[in-house]
Amino acid sequence: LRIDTIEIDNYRQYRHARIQLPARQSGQVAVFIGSNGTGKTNLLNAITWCLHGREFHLTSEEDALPIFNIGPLDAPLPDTAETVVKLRLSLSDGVQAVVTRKAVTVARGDGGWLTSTEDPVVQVRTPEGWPEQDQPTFWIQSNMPDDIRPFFLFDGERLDDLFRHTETLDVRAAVLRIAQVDLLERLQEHLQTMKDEALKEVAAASKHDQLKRAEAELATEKARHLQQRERLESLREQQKVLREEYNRLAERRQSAPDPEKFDRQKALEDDLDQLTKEIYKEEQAFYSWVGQVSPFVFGFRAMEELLARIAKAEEDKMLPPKMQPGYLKQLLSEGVCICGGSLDEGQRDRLEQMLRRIEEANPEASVLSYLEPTALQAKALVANIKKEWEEKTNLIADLRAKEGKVNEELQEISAILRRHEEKEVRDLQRDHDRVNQELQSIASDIALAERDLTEQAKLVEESEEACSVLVRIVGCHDGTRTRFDFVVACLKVVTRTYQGLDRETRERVAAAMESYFLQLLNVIKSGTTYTGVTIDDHYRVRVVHAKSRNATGTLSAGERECLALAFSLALGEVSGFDLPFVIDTPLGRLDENVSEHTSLAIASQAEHRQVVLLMQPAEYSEAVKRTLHEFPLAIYDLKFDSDEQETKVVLRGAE
Amino acid sequence: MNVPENLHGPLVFIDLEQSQREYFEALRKFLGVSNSQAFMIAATWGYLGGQTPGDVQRSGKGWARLETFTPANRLEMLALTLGYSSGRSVEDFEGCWRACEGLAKEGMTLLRDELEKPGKFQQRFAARVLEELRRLELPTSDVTIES
Repeated sequence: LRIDTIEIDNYRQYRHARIQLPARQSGQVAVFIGSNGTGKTNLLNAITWCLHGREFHLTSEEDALPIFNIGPLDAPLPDTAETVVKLRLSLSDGVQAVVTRKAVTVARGDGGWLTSTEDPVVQVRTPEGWPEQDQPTFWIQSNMPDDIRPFFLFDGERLDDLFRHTETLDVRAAVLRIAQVDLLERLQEHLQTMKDEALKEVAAASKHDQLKRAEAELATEKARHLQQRERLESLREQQKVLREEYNRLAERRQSAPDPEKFDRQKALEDDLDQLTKEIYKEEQAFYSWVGQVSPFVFGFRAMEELLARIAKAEEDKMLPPKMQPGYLKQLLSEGVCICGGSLDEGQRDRLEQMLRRIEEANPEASVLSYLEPTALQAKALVANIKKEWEEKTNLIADLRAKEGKVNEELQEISAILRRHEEKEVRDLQRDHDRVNQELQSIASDIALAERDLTEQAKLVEESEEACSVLVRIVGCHDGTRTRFDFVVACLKVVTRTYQGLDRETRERVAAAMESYFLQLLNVIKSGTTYTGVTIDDHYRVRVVHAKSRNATGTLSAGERECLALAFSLALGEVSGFDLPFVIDTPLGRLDENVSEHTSLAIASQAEHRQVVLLMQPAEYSEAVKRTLHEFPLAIYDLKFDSDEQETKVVLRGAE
Repeated sequence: MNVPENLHGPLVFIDLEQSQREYFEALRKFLGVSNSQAFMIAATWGYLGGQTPGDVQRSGKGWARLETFTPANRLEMLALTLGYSSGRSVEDFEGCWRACEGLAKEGMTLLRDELEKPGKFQQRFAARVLEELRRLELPTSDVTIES
């Protein structure tokens, strides 16, 4: 199946768009290049909406703009609007078909919108014309089943989720879907019911009590088995709901900041406040210190002159070297004699008289001799000011530098947090953690329930075996017995076939997945350390590492995306469904090396099926461009006119 | 520090006009200094500004009391005033204090102009101190003022 044209009228960014995709014979890969908001995802949505009536890739349907194109910004919105998407398809057997879906949207009056989506119309070309199919949904489901759609039409950035939670369930469901064993499953169930009924008849016809008891026991074990299976299914259903909730929350969380940033913002604000106070305090202390020392700096020359005057007095022998009043005063205060011994009363009197006489004889010399040490200290103080100045200003400069850094980080964080409410972000994180925890808890409940179910299945099997043995022993009506034997034989064949198909498909998917995964990774360093991929009987995907049987848990996000992509490619290959690959942001989280190889792997699918890539300009890097140009390409630019609120699709032409 | 007893003396005042008082208070506030420290800044600023100390009339309502000056400040006052008059006796403390009061009053007039200039007074003041330090050419490392 190929999409030949996509015609869109009045759908989201597209007012009127008619996109002719490359013809099958050209083998071209269609690459749509557009920045964020130009309508890449909505092109994918237009296809899924037309086929299945749902826009699977909307972040939130509730918060979205109306489905129709809102028109120029300065024009009022209409009260009603019709949306039409039409896909022209070519089937592998040459059949051509047109699928059309319409929707009518009306204003609700409270600012909201009510959209009524009609059933699709499918027209298949016949020699007589384009008659409508009676059962359009059935026709679509037959050609592109909704349950395998996610492996062909998907968002590359969300692939990573596939191997994050409940992957076992997804892998099992996916493998069984493409193995198309649902009919066998139903046949198996039918035969089982027939077998149970036949056994009941045999038991009823028999007079053998042991068989009756065995049949009753089997019925009890089966009832338990059914109960456990229902419990498991209920758990899986809960898991599915939780997972959807988790994905929604994870999606919202991606665009929300880390709640810890709010804590950091508060801490930085406190730090900044503290630093501002500290700087103010240090500055005030510095200026106060400058004020206190400034008189000594400003009066330094005067002090030098005073010291010169003292020096001259000394030179003029006006200051007796050993009899200076200061010296005498010191001896008196310490009670020490000139000779070094203790001062007695008589000596004290003599010293005091000597001091008075000196002061009376030369009062100026006396004062000068007192002043000298103080003047020298003042001079030394000035000489040390520069050093102290440097220390104080360096301290302030360091604090300012710290303040600058804190402020810079605060500005960055504030810019991130500006558009977010703290409570909302914290609630989101709390919900995300809660759901994550519930998912883990339910995964372990499921594992336990699976184990119980397996054990119960064994009990059922044993009971059945016991019954079968008894049926052979007891005598009963031949016809009843023959029917029982026949049903048992049929059931064995069907079960064997089912298991065989299941195993075969699983092995083929695993082999193809391994090949794609290693191909995708072999250019990056880590690629050399992985040696294979397996899917075990419980549908657990394991990436085999050179030194470990299972390294799935430690894969990086990019590697997980490669694994999921490899899984999709493998399912596409094994399924036998000839469906197109339409991939939005196929190289989203991958680095350049991996991108190059991934684009090669995807584009090489064009040999077998139609490939449509919806890429951001950044994804279409030089390396990717070089790789893709090894294939015939049709490149389309998505050009969004923000005034008109409309995207035009422009074909660059085959390059 | 040894200071002669008689280095104490009558009170030291700085008698300012009413209009000058707010500048004296502003100086104290900006630099976070006491009355006596502000007095010393004003006096040395006057000395640096080339003012000549003369006799001053006291109203008895000034703020700075001699007891609040450190010995080093008192020495500074002596040094400031002795330099102007080689004939002045070192013993003439009273004369020195009076002359210093005169210097402080003149210094306050000069500081008023500085205080009235736009911008941060503290930074300009610190820059002036630094400039003077550099002019003294003391053997110490170079420093800068962070704004």
